[in-house]
Amino acid sequence: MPPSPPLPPPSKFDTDHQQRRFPLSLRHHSPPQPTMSDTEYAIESADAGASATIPMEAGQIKKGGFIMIKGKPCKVVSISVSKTGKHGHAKCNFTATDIFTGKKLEDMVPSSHGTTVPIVSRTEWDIMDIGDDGEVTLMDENGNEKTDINLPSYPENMAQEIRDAWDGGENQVSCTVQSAVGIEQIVAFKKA
Amino acid sequence: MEVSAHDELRLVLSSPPPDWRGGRDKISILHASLEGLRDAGDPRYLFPRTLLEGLSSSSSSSSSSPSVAAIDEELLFHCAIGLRHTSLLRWECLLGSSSSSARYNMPLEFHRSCHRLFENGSDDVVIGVNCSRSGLDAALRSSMTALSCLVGHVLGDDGAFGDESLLELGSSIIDVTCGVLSWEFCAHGKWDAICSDRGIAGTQLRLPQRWRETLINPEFLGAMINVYVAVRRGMMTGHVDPSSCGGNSLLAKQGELAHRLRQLLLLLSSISAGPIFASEDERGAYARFLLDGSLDVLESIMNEQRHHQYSEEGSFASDLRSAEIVDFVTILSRLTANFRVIILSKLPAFSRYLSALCTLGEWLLESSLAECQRVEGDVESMEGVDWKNDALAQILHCSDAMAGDFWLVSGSADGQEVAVNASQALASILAPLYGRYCMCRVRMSCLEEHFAAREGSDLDEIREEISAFGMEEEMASVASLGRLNVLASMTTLSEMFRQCTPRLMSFFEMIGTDGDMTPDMAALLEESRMLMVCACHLLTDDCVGETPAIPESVINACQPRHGAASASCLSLIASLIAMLTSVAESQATKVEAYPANPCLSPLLAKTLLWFFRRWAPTYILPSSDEYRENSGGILSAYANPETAQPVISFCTTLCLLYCCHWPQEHELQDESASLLMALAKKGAFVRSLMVTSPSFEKIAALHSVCASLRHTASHQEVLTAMSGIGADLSIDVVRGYQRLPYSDRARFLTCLLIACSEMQQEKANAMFVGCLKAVETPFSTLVQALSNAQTITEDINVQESACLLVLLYGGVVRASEMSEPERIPLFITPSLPHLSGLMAHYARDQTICRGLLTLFRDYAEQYIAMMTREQSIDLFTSSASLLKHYSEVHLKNRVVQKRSETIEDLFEEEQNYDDVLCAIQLLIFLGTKDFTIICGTSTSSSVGVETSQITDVIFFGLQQVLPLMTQGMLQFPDLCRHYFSLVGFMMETYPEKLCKLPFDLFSSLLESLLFGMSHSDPLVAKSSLHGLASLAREHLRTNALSAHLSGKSDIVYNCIFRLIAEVIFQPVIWDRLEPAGAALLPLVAIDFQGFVRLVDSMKQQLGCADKQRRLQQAFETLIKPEMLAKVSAEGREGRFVRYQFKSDFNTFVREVQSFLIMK
Repeated sequence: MPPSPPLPPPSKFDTDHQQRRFPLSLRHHSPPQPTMSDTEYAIESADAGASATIPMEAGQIKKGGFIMIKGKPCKVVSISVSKTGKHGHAKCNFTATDIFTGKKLEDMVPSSHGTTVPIVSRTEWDIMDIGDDGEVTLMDENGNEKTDINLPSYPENMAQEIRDAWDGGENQVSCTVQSAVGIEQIVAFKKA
Repeated sequence: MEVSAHDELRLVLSSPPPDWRGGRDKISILHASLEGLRDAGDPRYLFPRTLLEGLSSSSSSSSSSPSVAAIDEELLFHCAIGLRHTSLLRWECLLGSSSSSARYNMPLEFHRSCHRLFENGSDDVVIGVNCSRSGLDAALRSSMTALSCLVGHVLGDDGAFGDESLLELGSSIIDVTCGVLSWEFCAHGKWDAICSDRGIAGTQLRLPQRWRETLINPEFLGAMINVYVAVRRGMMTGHVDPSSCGGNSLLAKQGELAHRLRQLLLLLSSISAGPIFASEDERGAYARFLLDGSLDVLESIMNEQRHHQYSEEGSFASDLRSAEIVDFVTILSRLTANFRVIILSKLPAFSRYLSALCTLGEWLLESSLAECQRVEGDVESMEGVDWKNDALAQILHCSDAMAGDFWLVSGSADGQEVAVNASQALASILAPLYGRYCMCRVRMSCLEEHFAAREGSDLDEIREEISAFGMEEEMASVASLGRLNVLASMTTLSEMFRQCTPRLMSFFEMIGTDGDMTPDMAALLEESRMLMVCACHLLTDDCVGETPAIPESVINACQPRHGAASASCLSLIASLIAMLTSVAESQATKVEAYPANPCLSPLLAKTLLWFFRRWAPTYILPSSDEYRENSGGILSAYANPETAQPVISFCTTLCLLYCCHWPQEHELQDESASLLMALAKKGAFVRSLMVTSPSFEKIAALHSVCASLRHTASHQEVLTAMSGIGADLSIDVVRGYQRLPYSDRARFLTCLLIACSEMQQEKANAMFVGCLKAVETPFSTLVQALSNAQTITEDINVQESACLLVLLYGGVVRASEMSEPERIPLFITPSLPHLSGLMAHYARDQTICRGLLTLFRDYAEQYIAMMTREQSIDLFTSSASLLKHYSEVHLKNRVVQKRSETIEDLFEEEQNYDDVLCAIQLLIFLGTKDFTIICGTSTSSSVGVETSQITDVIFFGLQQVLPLMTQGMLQFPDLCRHYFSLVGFMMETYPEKLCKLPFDLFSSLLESLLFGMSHSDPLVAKSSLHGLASLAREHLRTNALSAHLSGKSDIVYNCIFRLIAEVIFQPVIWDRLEPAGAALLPLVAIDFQGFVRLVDSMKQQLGCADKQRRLQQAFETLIKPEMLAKVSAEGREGRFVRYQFKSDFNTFVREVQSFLIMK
């Protein structure tokens, strides 16, 4: 790989936020003073334990986002809009792929109707062991162990590739586990 | 004794070709000989001569015996066919492009020479005005002689229509004549450049003066019209039974002859100017002949149509009539375009002509409507719809051309009597077509919608877009027709509205909680929508990118000097607006109450918004600067705050209602935002009126409440946000606004900022600050939370909030059209590091990632010119950080997948890479000179950013993008153009850095340059060639490529080879001649030995010794050793060498392209 040219240090979110100069203070009003402490942070976090999906209007779902179709968590590949006759209300036609099987699914929902969006999370793990039947032992950076997951059956060759990477060298192999609606699956791996 | 061409040709045709191995029968030999003669190009003009002699003799003997001897007839038939092939195919094929020379395996200079010889008769003699020794003249003479014989046969012998051979012969003769008339004169002079495609579709022909006697001849024109009339009479009364043996074939041949004749007449109507006409009077007389003839034929067609109106679509008679109508209307359209109103209005038949257009247009519309009624709105099953639309389009072209005629517009303004009379004729005779058009089109749309609703069929947005585009074009033409008589058109439209509106209003009144859209309701909605579309086109123009202006004809029609008529027109316009306002209000009220009711139409709402988007900024507070010559009338109708304020308030209320109650209708929100934007851009006065509108205040308050509310916000969060603002808002309205897609909320924010940007107004100022603060506060909260608790980045609600705020910041950035836009950099700059920091967390989220890149790109594009030094440096550091985070996720290891070849799929695919496009555009803006200079300025308190730092960032970005730029990716036009724009700029400015790239990256870069140099887009090609030239010059200067050349020594050789083979020896060279030469010279200077080897190998491939010699000579003349030695020299000497080479290279390419066969 070519050496990267010198770059300014990556920006990080300021910790001295209160001291920052905000532009509106330059003219007509005082700078905004965050009134909430960290514990009072106003944005409600979605509790993954409470619900695996959240409701959302079909018209608010974005390309590249997620949607539940026929009970499967899917990634939206394309959205087109149609209507019945010229004067009908808009309907969203979703083309999406199951995030665990890659299977293509389609759905049509009126854009004002609600649908559900899966909460998808990705976590990084190091592979500790791979059993003969494909059962995998994983460990995260805090030392937590995970043993309830097998090598993936999709994409077709990934299980073998992970096993080859694991068998073939002494390097550490890490993987990304994607979880949604109670399903977990290894979706990517790399040699450390 | 001289052998006649007749005998000579017969002898040739009866003798087998030299290497003929086929059958010995007469027919086989005849065909083989004919083919051979055609392929040889018939240098002795055997075909024309034979044709001429044969027909002359048959003509001279026609008094005694009208029929030609059977054997002569066969020969003449072959002559005509052969002549057609020779003069059209053999020579015409050369004109398209030089690629055809490869098809015929002959070099360009051969074709050029043939063309010149055929056109001028001699290579070295310039042909005089009346000299007619050329092949072209001979062909014209022959064809004219043959035509006169044909005329004699057709007009004198009814039996001619039953003779298939004669019909075919006639078609061929006319075909030859058409070929001669549409000959592109002096085209050989243009062959060195890319020739445009030719054909008989051109609207103007400029023929030489020497053909005047032949063509500008009343007898000739009259004869052609008469022949056509006779032919069609023969077809109509010939009683040929199509089902009988041979009946079909005979009818087809008759139809073919009629078609050829129409094509000839079409060509004759394209002869409109040039030396062939002795005077303007002669032009007028010529136009008169054609116009009278065409109108006669059209009249007889229409008469027949009345008598045979039930003839089945698809029958022979019906097909013939449809083709005739389309062709003759096209002839009229061409006459209108070529001779203009100034000549046509002086002809006695002008009124008849206008009347014919109107009658025919009405008939086309009515018959289409009748057909639509027959199939009950199923337009897919309608018969004859295409040709009727074609014919109608031609009629509309005629009216469009006449309505916009400069002479008419300026002449009638000056009060010239002829122009005024012509205008009046147009208004009284042609303009009534507008009313019929509106009536029929509206009715057809109703039927179509009725059918669609009945069938429950789904319409997708792409299909809708296509049909809307077609309708838009047609409506624009129709509007010009309607503006011929604004008062009459407004009266018609108002009457239609008066009939429709009560039904629509009672329909709205009936709407409750439930109900389904019935076909009748759908039809009613479509009827009102179409009327709105017609009215909008009549009263407004599109004015994209321009200051909207009231059409001249509307202003004139409402001028007080016209007395009662203008008052009536003004009142019709006012009542129409009042009617539309009440319709919009009724629908919006119902939407507010029953948003989910399927009987309420988003399309009708969108059309209303569209109407007001075009109408309001045009008619409200018109600037006196733009209408200096006029005042009063429509210009004063909405010219003061008292009359303008209600309209502005109405528009903003409409937008408010739709955005709160139909947030899911994306197209509707687009239109709402466009309406607000159009008003906000109108100027300070309109902005001040907007700010005082309560609805506008409400929109601003809604933005302030919802700027922190993502789609998934809980009820409690909404209530908390509402309590913080304290405006009078209901929870439903807030919930509605909150449901708007984030991108739409960003668009509304842009409109709000522009509308509130007048600093002198205290209220506007407060709203402006409030809008920005509403975005800034939640953003600072988000930033603080993220900085203290990194783990929450994965939380879906936090992610949604980040997405909303990024898009809202994008909305702020796009408000650059506001008053005093310098305030935006002041606002954005402190947030830039945080925004770029979001990329580190959310680069994988497609929407956030694209939102951030778009934000930075738009900010850089629109504000660099007005930024201070500190703001520029902040933008630079934040952009650098943004690109670094982005590239880590998206560019490294990104797999480019190209799945399909169709245009639609390519477009879809290209959208998948618009993040890459945004990143490239951002790099381009960061590389601009202004930005580099201002960032580099040091002050007493701080040092600036060095230029090298900026270029480092751009190179970093380029390095990340380079591996992605495979040939598959470069198929995407926008991506390709921007990538090469960036590469070209960097190559020219910093070649030394590119030379030092690691080999694999350098190799990718070079490969993309080599790909780009033969790209069809000249900008891409020029950027690539300039890039190559810069690389080569840099190496000559500093030996910068030595490291790469030591690893792979044939780099330069390959570049030269591909440059010569793929660019210089190709027809594509002409639009990139100069940069190609600029790239070749330094490359050859680097590897002269390789170049010599290359020339040798090219010579070997040529085979022919003469061509080898010429190629060698051409290269020797081009590349001179003393020139190579001075390629990299600076100052006058270097410049002189490069200048000389430029000229030599031009000569070289012309020479080489002449004798090489391009493949």
